[in-house]
Amino acid sequence: MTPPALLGLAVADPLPDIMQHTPPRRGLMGLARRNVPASIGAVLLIVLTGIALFAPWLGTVDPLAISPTLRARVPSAEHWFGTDMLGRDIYSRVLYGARVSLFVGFAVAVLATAIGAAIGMTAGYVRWADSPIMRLMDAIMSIPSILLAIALVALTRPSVGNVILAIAVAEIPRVARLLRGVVLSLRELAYVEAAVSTGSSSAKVIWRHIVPNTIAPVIVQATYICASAMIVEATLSFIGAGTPASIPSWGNIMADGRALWQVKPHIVLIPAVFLSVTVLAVNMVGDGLRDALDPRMAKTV
Amino acid sequence: MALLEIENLQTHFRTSDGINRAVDGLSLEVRPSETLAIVGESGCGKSVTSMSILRLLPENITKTAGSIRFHGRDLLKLTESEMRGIRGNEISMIFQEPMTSLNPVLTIGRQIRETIALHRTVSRAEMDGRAKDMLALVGIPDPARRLQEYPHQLSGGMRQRVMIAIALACDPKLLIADEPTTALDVTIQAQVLELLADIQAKSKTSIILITHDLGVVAEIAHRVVVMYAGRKVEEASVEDLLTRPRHPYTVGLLGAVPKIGVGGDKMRLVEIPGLVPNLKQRIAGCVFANRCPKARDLCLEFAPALEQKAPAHVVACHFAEKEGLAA
Amino acid sequence: MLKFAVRRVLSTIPVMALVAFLVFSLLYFAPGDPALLFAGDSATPQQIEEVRRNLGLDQSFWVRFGSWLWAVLHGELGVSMISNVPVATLIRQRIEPTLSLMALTLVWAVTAAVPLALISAWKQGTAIDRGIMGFGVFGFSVPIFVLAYCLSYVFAVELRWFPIQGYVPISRGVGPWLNSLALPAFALGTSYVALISRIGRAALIEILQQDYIRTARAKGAAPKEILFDHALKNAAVPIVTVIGIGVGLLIGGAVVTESVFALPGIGRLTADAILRRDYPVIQGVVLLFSFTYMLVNLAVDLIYPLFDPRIRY
Repeated sequence: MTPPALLGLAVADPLPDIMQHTPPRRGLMGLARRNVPASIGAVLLIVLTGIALFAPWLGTVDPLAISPTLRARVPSAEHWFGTDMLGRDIYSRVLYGARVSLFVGFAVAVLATAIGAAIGMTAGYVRWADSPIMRLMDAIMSIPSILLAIALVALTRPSVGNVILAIAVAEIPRVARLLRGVVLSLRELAYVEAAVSTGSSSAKVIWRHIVPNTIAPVIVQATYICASAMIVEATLSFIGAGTPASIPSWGNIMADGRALWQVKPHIVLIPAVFLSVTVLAVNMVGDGLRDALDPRMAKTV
Repeated sequence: MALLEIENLQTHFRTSDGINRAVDGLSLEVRPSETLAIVGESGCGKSVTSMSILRLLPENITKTAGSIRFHGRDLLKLTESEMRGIRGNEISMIFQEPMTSLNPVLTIGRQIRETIALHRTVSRAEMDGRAKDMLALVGIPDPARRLQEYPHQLSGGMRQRVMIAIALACDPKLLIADEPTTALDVTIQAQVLELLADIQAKSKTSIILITHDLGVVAEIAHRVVVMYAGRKVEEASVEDLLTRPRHPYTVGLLGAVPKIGVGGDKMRLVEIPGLVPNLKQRIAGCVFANRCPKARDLCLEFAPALEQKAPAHVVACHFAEKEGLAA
Repeated sequence: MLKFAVRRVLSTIPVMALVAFLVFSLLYFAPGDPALLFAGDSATPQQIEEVRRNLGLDQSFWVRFGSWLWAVLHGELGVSMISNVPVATLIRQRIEPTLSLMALTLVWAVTAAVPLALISAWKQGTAIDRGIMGFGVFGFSVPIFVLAYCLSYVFAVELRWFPIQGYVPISRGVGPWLNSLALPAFALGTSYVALISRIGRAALIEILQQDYIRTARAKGAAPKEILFDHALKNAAVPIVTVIGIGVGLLIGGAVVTESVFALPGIGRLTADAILRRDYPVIQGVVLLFSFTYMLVNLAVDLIYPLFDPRIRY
């Protein structure tokens, strides 16, 4: 091509770059790099789940075996985390205790989310049911959640199942409220209205249009419920109203250690660290999911 | 001497998928007591230019180069606190969105007084008096009562007048009006433009008027800069530009102005075909080449420099004819 | 304005009634026969029957609910099955430590949380922000009693700065009173601080992107004025809302905190009642706490217009 000068053209000088672009990393590593806390949380959760599942094969002994001669020992080669007041091996109890915490957290999250979602969608979709359902939800939410769970377990025989139910009841209204809000805003949208007016059945409209749009906020909410359920379970067990004493749970181990707290703090401290780390891991995963699934919600919550 | 001289301004943003070269090599000047219009489609960099002058862009994702000299001082080199002394005091700005640009929880009076308090040491009574005068100046009836009211109690046109009052409270040398009438309905638009023209005539404030509407330009501007893809493509006096546009983009823009023709209510609206180029990629040739009816191969290769093609008329196009200039 | 406030107040009545109904049902369906407990182990069947009639236990559900509600409205919450003391008396005896703990916690938590939210929002995305928010997640994740024990081990057992347990009434001096509540209030307030600062930060970040903040910057306002005069005023409504909602957290937390630090308050009363299955006490306390919580949130709703002139009652 002919140089521009020969054509008599005035050519603009090219401008410098004043900023450098660094393209984001792709793939799994890129994802992990962008969500460091969530990745740490996920890894921790996987490890803790592994511990819970494989507790019998991780060098544990019977967590209920009492040995009166070995009471309240500090950690040693024999008993890595020491022993409690009854001489039970704390390492074994803590590992088995992971099962209760994780199971309760998971079960409450699933149960509360499923029931709450069903209630919330009904309230949002069926006009006449909205007001009575939501007043009931308001009433349940007016009772501070730990207090409600406490009152409910006090009514029943202590068992893991009852603890799960009691905690779930207190969480249901929060899910219901969230879902109702989402459904109410969605039903105003053109495509849902169109589906309704063209005579699609309610069930079909809910399934096709509303359910897919609610999945992201529900998953995020479920993670937070899981974290809070683990705290409430431990709290209930700690004050003696939760998981039966015969089942080792982190809350129970801590409750057992209360009396010796000032002299043998490790009995309380070790399960406390496990519990806090687990809840932290779930919360970090929850925050990561929230940022990833719903950028709008990331700003508001 | 020019009041404001922008030279080779580059304002770039970091985004997740590349660097957005929103303003790239813009030069212009604003003279004392003139109204300079910056015209272009949305995304051409005109608002970014105005935000760059006041340095209101988010610093963590923005970088600027070049110079913006105001009274001979380069604004880009001032410290943040020196810059604060200029904002609202020597250079003021009014925005496109009168409905959301006022703080909903503060009274109108408080919001006008704030500007005065930031830049002047005067008593509360003086500030109140000044605030009342400003509201009267921008044509708000019953100013004493309005001072006590909150933005939601005012209409959109009223709120834009309040914005103007705030902007003028410290007698700025330069007022930047970014699409001041776009959000308003037609009759209110005319009133606000008239108000701006009045103020200009009275106070000799220079105005940079940013708009996409050549009708607005015709009404109050003295000179016009046409921007496209972050660059200036043409600059001329209003009459010259509206009657004898030389850049194919300006020609297209003028075609896009709805005109009420001689045939009664027949409206002509010519769209410029094609899309604005992606500013995240470097453009080798002329930025307008992909949409230009006159473009040839060499336009894709060589970016045209700004050249004087007629007296006081600068164009960046290889094919704009020269005229009226001594060889 | 007044009309709306009245309507808002009236609208809480059905919800309160519903709460009362739920709480009553809890006791009604509680296992065990209260008549047996009251009559004692050596009672004859006739005596038990008489106690049952005296307590009105032979009446239908609705009649019993009605008379219970009537009593509640007159400030009678039943009688403890363990100590035979009226529940209302038990609550009155124990209200001071609980009120003190909550008030102190509320004050320090709000004082700490609002500046944290402001700094975090202003420095959004920086290491400072990440640090504060990291602390927030941590505050959510460590159960109150765990924190309580850690604090008490370090500051009471080891350093001996504060008493390990117990409560000193305010009548014996503000200094000792504060000293006895410092650790409990800190333990109880941490998650509350996390909650308020997190919600406050989110609200402020959204506000800082608003057009009127840009206007303020264009006026030449400095960060101080932008944050305090413009952003914080607009964030007041979400912040007071979450302060109100968080009171629920404080109430639940008080039960645990008072147990750990042996504060003779209503929370401790609750924990003890649960262990002994003292249903009338559980019922009375749950009702009291729920109503308090509702009234706090009602009050929060009613003060909105102070912060936002657009909200008119």
